[in-house]
Amino acid sequence: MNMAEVDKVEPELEVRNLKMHFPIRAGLLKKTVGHVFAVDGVSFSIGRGETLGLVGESGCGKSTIGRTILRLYKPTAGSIHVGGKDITHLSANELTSVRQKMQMIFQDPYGSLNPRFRVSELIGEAYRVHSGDENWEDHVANLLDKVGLQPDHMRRYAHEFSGGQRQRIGIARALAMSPRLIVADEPVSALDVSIQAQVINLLDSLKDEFGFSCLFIAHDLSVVEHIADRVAVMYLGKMVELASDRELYQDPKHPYTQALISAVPKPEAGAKRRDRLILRGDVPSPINPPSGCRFHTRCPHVLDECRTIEPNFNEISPGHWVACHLHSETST
Amino acid sequence: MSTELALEVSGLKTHFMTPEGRVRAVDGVDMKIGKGRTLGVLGESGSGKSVTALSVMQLIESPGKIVEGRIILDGRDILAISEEEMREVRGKDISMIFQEPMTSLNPVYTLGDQIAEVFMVHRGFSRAAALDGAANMLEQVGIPSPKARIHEYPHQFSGGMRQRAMIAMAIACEAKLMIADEPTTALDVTIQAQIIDLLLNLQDDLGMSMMLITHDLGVIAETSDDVVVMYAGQVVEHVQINQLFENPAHPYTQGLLASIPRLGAKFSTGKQPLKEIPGIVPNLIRLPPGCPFADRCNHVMARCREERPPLFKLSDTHGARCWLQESEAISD
Amino acid sequence: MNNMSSESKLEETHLDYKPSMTSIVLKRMWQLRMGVFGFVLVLVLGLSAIFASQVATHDPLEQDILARLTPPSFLEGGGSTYFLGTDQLGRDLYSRIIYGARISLTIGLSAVLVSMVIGVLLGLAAGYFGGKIDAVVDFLVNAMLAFPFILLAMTLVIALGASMENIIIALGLSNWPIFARVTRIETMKLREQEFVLAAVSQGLSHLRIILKHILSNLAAPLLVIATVEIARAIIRETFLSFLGLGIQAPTPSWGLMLAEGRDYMLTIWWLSTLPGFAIFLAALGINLVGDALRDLFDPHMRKG
Repeated sequence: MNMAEVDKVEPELEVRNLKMHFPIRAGLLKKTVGHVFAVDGVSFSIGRGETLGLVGESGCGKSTIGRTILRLYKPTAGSIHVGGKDITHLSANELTSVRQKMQMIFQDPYGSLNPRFRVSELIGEAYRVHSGDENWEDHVANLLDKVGLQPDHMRRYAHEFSGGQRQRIGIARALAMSPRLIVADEPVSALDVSIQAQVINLLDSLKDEFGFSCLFIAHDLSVVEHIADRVAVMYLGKMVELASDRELYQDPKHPYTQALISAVPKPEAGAKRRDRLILRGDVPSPINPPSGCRFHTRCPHVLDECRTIEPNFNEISPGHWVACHLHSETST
Repeated sequence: MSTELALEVSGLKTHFMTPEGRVRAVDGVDMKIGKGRTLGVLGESGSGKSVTALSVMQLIESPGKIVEGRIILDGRDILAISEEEMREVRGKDISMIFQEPMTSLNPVYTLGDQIAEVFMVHRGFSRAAALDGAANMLEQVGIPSPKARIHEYPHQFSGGMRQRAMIAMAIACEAKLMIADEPTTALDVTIQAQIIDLLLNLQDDLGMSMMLITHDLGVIAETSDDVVVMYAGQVVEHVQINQLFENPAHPYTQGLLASIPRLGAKFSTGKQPLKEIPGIVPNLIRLPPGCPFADRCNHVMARCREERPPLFKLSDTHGARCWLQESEAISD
Repeated sequence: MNNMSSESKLEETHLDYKPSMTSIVLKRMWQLRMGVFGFVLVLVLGLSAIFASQVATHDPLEQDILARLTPPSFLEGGGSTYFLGTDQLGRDLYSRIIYGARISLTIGLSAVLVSMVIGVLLGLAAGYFGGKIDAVVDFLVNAMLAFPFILLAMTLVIALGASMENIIIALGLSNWPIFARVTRIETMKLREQEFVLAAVSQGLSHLRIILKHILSNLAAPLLVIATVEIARAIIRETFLSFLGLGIQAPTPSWGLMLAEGRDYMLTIWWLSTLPGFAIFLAALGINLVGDALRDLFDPHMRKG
């Protein structure tokens, strides 16, 4: 899907200046002593049938974005539009119908499936409740087939399956109500390497078949780049770069993106002792983020203004957005 | 070619007697680590890689038992020594670092105290000297303001810092062999790059040999000189690092290499589905007769299901446990 | 379409290699042999309670004044008519103990049922919704726990009268906090599990999530606690009866029998000792079963 096409059709998901701050309570009276600035002003959109990859390290807020979009949290500020509809302030009741159209695939194949439920219930419960379809089990059987499991697995319990198979069950569950948007939160991170490829390929083929839009969240840049059409990079609650998969890899603009790409270990001969951009220091805490550009404490190209002025998230070339003073329109 | 060996494992078998049956976690494993070199142990869950490391340290607890084998460290078989003598070996001759620094560090003692303990127990230092030594260690692993930080508790350190602290504890006695079990798996990729760098530098400075266990082919590429690939409790291939990527002999190794997404591959060859390895890791209690990889192998022959292949020697530094290699094998 | 998972094919193959169900069950039963013993005890008592009329030798209320205070048949002076002797009104002790099992087990089970219903409902609400509801329940729990049980039960019985129903209510009302506490903690843990989040994301109602997703996972810990509480309820009924606030004469409750035999302890010791022994066996059996259930559920949950 090229960029021009994406612009013409209304995006499936549009997020504007989204903020999600979690209060930290302490003491007997549970006073608010601070906030975790998990997501601090993020804007992006996902087109119909498009997959946007979201990468970043711990504390960057990528998982929080995924959950906030699904209204598992109520955003602190900003807006979320799904299929053109503003869902930012909808009540729990009003969300019931919206929820069917946006689903999540979770990271943990063990914690995300209720151990007391049979597979048929796990996959079909919400579908049955919302649609009232008497033949819901046929629908479940069909879904099981689509994800590469046997229909008679319906009778079994989750613990009888391996990690990879459980993820397939989770994927079937996410597809049950034919959603238009799927948020995949680290769907393969907890799986063995040899199983990851199976699930990644499955997701790819299901995307082709069902045509849903996807927000693919992961910390593994190689996986994200493989599966996504566009990729966004997060750092400490901010989006620092957003570009097509090719452009991000071949021409990364933000120093953090460059460091990230360089840090990914290369599974090839001669990789030992290769030249790398090694970032110094640790990721600061999202409770007390640095002033100005959040990345300035570790940036190899830091300028004076980076310490005090937050850079804007600007489109520096069609489809390529960066938040960095090195690339702002005003810099020389 | 006679190279001195830091460690030699011969015919190691570690089995767990569970109510459901005997789990053959490590079932006849041979490994050699050259002095000053890094042996990468590549394997997924159920491969037996961690159990091998624990067996070397003799930290296997009931219902597990080392039932056979020899482990030669600096000329003596440490499986034949008493527990008291083994306690001397642990920490002083072999050090170990783990995946989760949070659970390996005692939360109620300061970091200084924990590192100092190693000095006091193994080198007979006084408390004051030991604390000085601890600060030195923290400096060597790149923790800023070490003299202040020895008085802090583990929870006051970030993930990367804790891992450095654990490495500091491990090198305190200048053990000649370090076993690192998934040391970077729980870390962010930019921090992982720092830790890999640290380990390689320490190796140079201290002349340390290392056994590095991981499932990540990229990490193996960036750290190891020699590699051993494990599957279902056996070594299926041992090879020098460059040959691993240029000329893998075992179908499992080949399958792993083909199935991982690689950054940038999409843009040179166009997006292809990843080449999956079908199936799942077999049940270690009742391994089928023959090669444990037979069910998942693209090149499986009738013989593979009946007879377990021996490790065929392909060169002085390359061996593979596969019937396909029989014709290529050279004699000892 | 290459979605066909050979994983599922493999799974079938490996199922052939599993050791037989019987051998696993037998091994388990040996590991939990104390629990099996306890279960046998409970089973014997339970069956006696249900089939009391068949197992007992006499009518527990029938008096035979001429034969009062007969020793048990295995002691000097005892006869064959009254297996465990007679009490001060000539009633067969053995039959009274058998019928007493029925009383005690009924009280024990019913009281725990009452506690459980109250406690679980409050605990679910507190654990799931948190906030003000949690604060209120927390206060109620702490208030109730501060009250000495005896005082509470006594007050209730005096106010309502000493019938079996009222005793059950008194015992039930005084013991719900323990169920509320456990339910609350477990609910809070479960609420954080991703499968609950998944249910929320699918637009399922809170009621459904609480009743189907959370409650279904509470069965194990609640069962363990419930067994222990049944034993405790039986013993508490004994206290009440001792104080004259329990089951009233002539109904054969073990506690009442203990109290009635108090005056004769030094000479006609069997009047109190034998019912006391029955109480001991019941409590022991139930506790052993509870322990075994706890062991049974723990490793299972770890495995999953």
